[in-house]
Amino acid sequence: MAILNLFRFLTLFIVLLPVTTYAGTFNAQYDRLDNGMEIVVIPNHRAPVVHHMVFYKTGAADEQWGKSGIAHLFEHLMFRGTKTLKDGEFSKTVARLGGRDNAFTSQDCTSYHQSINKDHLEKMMAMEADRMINLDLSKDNIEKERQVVIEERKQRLENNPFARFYERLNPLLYTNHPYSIPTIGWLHEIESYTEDDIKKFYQKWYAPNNAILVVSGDISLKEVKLMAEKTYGALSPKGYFPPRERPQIPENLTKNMSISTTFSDPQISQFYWQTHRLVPSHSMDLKTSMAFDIIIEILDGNEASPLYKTLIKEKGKAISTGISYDGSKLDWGVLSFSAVFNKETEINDFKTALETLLKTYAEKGFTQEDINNAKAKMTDRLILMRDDLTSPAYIFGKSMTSGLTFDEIENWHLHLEQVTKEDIDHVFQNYILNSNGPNSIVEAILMPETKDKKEQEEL
Amino acid sequence: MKKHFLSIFLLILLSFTTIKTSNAYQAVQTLTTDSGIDFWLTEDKTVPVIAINFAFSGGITADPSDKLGRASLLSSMLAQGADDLNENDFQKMLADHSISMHFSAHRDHFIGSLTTLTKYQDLAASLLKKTLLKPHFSPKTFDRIKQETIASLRQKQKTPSWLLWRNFNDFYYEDHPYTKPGQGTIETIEALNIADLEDFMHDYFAQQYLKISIVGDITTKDAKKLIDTIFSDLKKTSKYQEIEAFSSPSINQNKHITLDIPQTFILMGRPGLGKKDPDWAAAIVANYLIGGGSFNSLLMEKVRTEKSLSYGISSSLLTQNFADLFIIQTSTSVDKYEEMRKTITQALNEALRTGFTHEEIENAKSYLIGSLPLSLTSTNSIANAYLNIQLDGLPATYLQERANAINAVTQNDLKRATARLLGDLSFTSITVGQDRKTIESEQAN
Repeated sequence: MAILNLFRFLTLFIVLLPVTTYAGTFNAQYDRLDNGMEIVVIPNHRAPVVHHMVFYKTGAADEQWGKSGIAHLFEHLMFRGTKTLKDGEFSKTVARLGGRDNAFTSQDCTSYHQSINKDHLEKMMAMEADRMINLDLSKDNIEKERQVVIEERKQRLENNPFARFYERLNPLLYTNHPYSIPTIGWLHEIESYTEDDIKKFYQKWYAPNNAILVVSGDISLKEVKLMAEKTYGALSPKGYFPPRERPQIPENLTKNMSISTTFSDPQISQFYWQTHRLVPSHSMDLKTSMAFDIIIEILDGNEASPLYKTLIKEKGKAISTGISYDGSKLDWGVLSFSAVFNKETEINDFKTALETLLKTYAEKGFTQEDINNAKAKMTDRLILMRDDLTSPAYIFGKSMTSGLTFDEIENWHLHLEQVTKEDIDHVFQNYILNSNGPNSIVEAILMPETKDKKEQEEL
Repeated sequence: MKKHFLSIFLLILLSFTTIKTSNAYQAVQTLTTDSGIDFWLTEDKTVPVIAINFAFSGGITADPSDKLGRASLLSSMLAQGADDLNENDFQKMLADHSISMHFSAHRDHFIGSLTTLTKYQDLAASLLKKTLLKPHFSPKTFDRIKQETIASLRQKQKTPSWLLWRNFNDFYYEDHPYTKPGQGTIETIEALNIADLEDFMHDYFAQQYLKISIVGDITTKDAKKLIDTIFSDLKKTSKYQEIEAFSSPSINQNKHITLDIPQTFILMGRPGLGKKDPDWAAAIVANYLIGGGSFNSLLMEKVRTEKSLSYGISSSLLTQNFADLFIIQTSTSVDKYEEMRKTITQALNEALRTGFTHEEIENAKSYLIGSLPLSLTSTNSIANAYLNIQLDGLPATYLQERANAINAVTQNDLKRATARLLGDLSFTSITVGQDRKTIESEQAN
């Protein structure tokens, strides 16, 4: 009897343990409905609210050639009503229940989300399930929303010199690749797609077995699953989804080409210098991508790190500088260096100093101490990330729709721990000192308009 | 025996969960440290993190007219070394322990924030204390930060939003200190020196008027100790002096700024009303229904949903210590500008004359009360919310009182508040975009 009791005691204790200790990176849980819809729950009991997100495994890069922006226009149309819900009634219902809703489209996913009191979660799921299959795609709604998207394109992209710059730069970086096209689409293509194009897009991608449900907040997986079974669970899965093709970059064409380009813009006052190169994303090669994260933490984690300390504070070579890595992609990620200058003539000098700095690491490699220190900081920051309701949900959805598995994200800190000094030195040699990606390095400078200056000089 | 022990243990766990989830707002305690410093504490053990947000009175309005940008430059110069730690050692210490320390200059306040993991609280407190008492202002760093500030200002000056607000403030506030540009001008930033920053600290970094909000995984006892460590050596009195309230705007004026972009940006403003006004709760509801409530607002319905004139339009209540405003912002294609103007005027007239239905009002109230906990979901957002309540001179019970007051708003209250916010529909209005005369002449050709 005594032994049995002790056994029960231990079992209970083990079950309770995860509640009080820090087991996974986010302490999240995973499940799946019978119709194939994936479920991620990240409990956070600070306030009686939840953040409810549905991610579809389709984005701008999955669009048919010549129909750029259709994924994003479609996202807008999801708010225009269904067979049973009037136009605009979705957001009105969310608000009436004290919630907030929105959506976004990126190259590799489309997401819809609401923050709301947990008592209304099932209602959100019911409405989200409804618009997954019952959308009212009337001609009038499409035309109205097309005009709104054109205004959005003007407001967010065409008015902004940096957005204009990237729209022109991306085709140079991603040769023959959908990532070269802006998510919102080219204006003439936004104007072109038909009612039929939009209906086909809906048919093709929107189904429970192409979606991931992510809920963070004051709730358990058990509660979420019960509600999800009643709502999303009633939907039938679709049999076939087209492969998410990301055409390959023609290496023989781009590999040994050096691309350097300058854009001038009247809305620009400083000289913005950048280099970009394609490198493996998290989903292509987790270890390599984590090595990028660690290298950037060491070289450019803060203002006392070598990049800023040496080039800006000590040598005054630029106004500011940085390295960044975008690895949250289904296909190639990007590693970028950037700096801002007052004068164009300062750029070459900076580049030489940067090269010298990087070479010191090529010779001696990264120290174990630097690596351990970077890993410790990155692990600490994962705790800070759990402080917020929306960020963990976003990270799971965004990463899982771009090819990572639930376990890879939940065990992020363990994967980080496994990256060795050899891995890091190797990645530094291959991708930073040399560019062993599919493309050559693209150098670009965004600068003030020089027309007037030239004219003055000629006079 | 063990069985009972377990049941009690489970019971405690369960009841703890019930208590937590039945509270929409986290409980705030108003406390005083041993050395006599007042602060607000919200204990929250969700994650092992602590955030401290605090404010001194005195900010941009205290910048002398030939030293504009002083408070703002100081906010960038802090955390660049202090006491026994040089710039790099200080920044490394922050980064190695994932401690974030930020400062910002506002019109009437200078605000600081510190976020740390609970395990590094003592270190974080000592770094903040050193910064407030013995910051390093090395000439080389000062020059670097100045150049960075000037470069960022030069770029900002070409953005629609900077042009809108710069011109609006100049135009609306006339000779009031609220016209002062926060970042200063390129000339005044160049003229600033280290002694100017020291003057500001000397005059305003004091216990008098200091407001503190601390939130997170910390006990009352530790919080008191931490606050005393950081602030108890600050001098007692501040030289802060209130400025005159701004009460006579010259509205019904328009100004256009030329910028070669495909859209025209619009910023309209007129007097609003403040948080202590008896009509405040009604004004919150009115603003929500007019333009604050995104897709549930009249302006969004008319401008975006019905006519597709813009990606978005919003109204807001801007409350400040010495001026309260009602603001409308949007942008539209150059050729749709006239229709946009007409649509806004029609919508505002409808809000004034027809008003809103009982159902619309009840839905608005339901959102405004129900959505509040959504803004209190991270340690930092809670700390920030409770600092702002203190800066507005409101009690710790404000959030509950706000909910009750909104709940009590009647259709008549709403009518009165709408009339006060919209008045005779005269606004100070700034537009940024292509020159409309050029467009008209091009069209004539």
